[in-house]
Amino acid sequence: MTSAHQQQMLVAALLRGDEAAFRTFFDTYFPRLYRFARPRLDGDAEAAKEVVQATLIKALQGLANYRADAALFSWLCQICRHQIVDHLRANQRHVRHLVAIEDDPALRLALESIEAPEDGPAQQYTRQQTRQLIRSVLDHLPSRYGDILEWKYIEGHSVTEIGQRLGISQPAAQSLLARARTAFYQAIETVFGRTADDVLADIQGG
Amino acid sequence: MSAHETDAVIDDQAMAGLLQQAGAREEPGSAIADEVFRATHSAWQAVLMQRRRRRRTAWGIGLGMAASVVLTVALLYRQPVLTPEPVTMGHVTRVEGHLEVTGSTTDTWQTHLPGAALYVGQEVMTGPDARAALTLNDDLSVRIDHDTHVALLATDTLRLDSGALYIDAPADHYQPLTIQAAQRSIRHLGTQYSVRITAEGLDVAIREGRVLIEDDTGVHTGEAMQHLHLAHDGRISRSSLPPQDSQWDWAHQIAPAFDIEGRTLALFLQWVARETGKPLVYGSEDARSSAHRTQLSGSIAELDIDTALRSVLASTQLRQDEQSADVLSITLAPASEAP
Repeated sequence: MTSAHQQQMLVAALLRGDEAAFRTFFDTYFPRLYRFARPRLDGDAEAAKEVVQATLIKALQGLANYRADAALFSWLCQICRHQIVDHLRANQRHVRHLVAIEDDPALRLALESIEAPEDGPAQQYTRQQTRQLIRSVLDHLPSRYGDILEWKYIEGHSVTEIGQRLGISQPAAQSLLARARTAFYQAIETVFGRTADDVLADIQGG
Repeated sequence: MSAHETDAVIDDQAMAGLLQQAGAREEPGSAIADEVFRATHSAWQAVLMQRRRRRRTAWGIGLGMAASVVLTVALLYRQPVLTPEPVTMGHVTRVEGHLEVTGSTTDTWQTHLPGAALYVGQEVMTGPDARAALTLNDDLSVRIDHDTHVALLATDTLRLDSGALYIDAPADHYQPLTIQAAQRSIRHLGTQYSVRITAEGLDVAIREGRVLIEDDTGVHTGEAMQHLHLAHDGRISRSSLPPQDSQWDWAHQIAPAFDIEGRTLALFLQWVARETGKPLVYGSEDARSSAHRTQLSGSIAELDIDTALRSVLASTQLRQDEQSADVLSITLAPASEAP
């Protein structure tokens, strides 16, 4: 089943009133949107909460219009951008806080096309920008691939533990992890225009 | 297996290195997540209800078209046409001055008294000397200030055309009420709040809980103890408003009377605390248990809250500590004052 199909199924379940689908929708997209909004609001946690809440409500109200021609997260980010602008305008704050590295048009296109990779921008970034972009890549991966990769490679959980956390068997978790790794490698190449090894060498080498 | 999958197997260490270099992503705190979850879940429920209603309306239109054929035949035979049963919305609980209400299908204004039923489609109006309290079907209390005009659009939707409304939703109230006012819609999340139309725009004050205000620019959240001014040009300004502020006085002056007969003093004090926005504080454990033990009888129907409180307490062993202006402080009366 493709990620686009899964997203359509999730949207259909939400429109039917399926509580489990709402929980999945919230758990999958709330943390990602929060991370998307907060740096664009000068790190203001309260503003990020308000903007993300407004984004999710707006999205739920317009869910019947979602046509799956964009990834669900990209669609949510689009709504979130409007909410951020509205929030800053309403609170009369200066828009210079809005600029984030991944708001560069070429990068934005690359991040949003992660599920359908094309030739991405080959550019040099500072270490800090590279780290930020890697975290954004994790947020743009389909399903919960980003979470799975973090659990495995940062938190050090075993495949069995990941399976238990997701309520799936060990072989299913192994398979999911393999798909997550592949998606991550492809996404890194799309965004950075270089292999994951090269990007790692850049960070380590400086 | 693609080239990427082969690479992935080989470069597990590179994967770990890259992710560890990037560091873990920030997780929003659980308090924030819980709060946003509740708000979005409530909004989702409202969306689902609206979809169901639209579906019913669509069915209704289809059935209506079918019915019109039947009606045409009936008219040909000069049979009487039945009008639909009005949908009950709630009832009037208290009135000061005159409350004018239109019929659900006519524009004729009639004076309504406490106990009168209210129906979807009616409009309600108070003059400069009138106020009223309504209780909607699900125990939601709506208070209407002077010079207010409000339309009862649906069992869960009111349209405020002028004046002010105060909404008091019980803690366990889950069906959101929407108030349409000045090109905006306001929905509560279990709360006490007021909406007032002024010459400058719309004022929304939240005493407890939270409200969501939607306009053309998006959804804005109002938090407890906030006063939001939404200007005609779309600007929103916020200021703080304590729950005991005198701005709330009109709402508790028209509060439906509390029926004390057979209820405990503790329940009565909780009601006073909620209506006045003052936290209830007992001076001692003895005072608390006395309030829970004391059964009340009689009626306070004609009394304002302050008078009712003094009258009820005078017949018990408890007194209000008048020194504490922002809290409802209840202490045991000195032995010499006890009834």
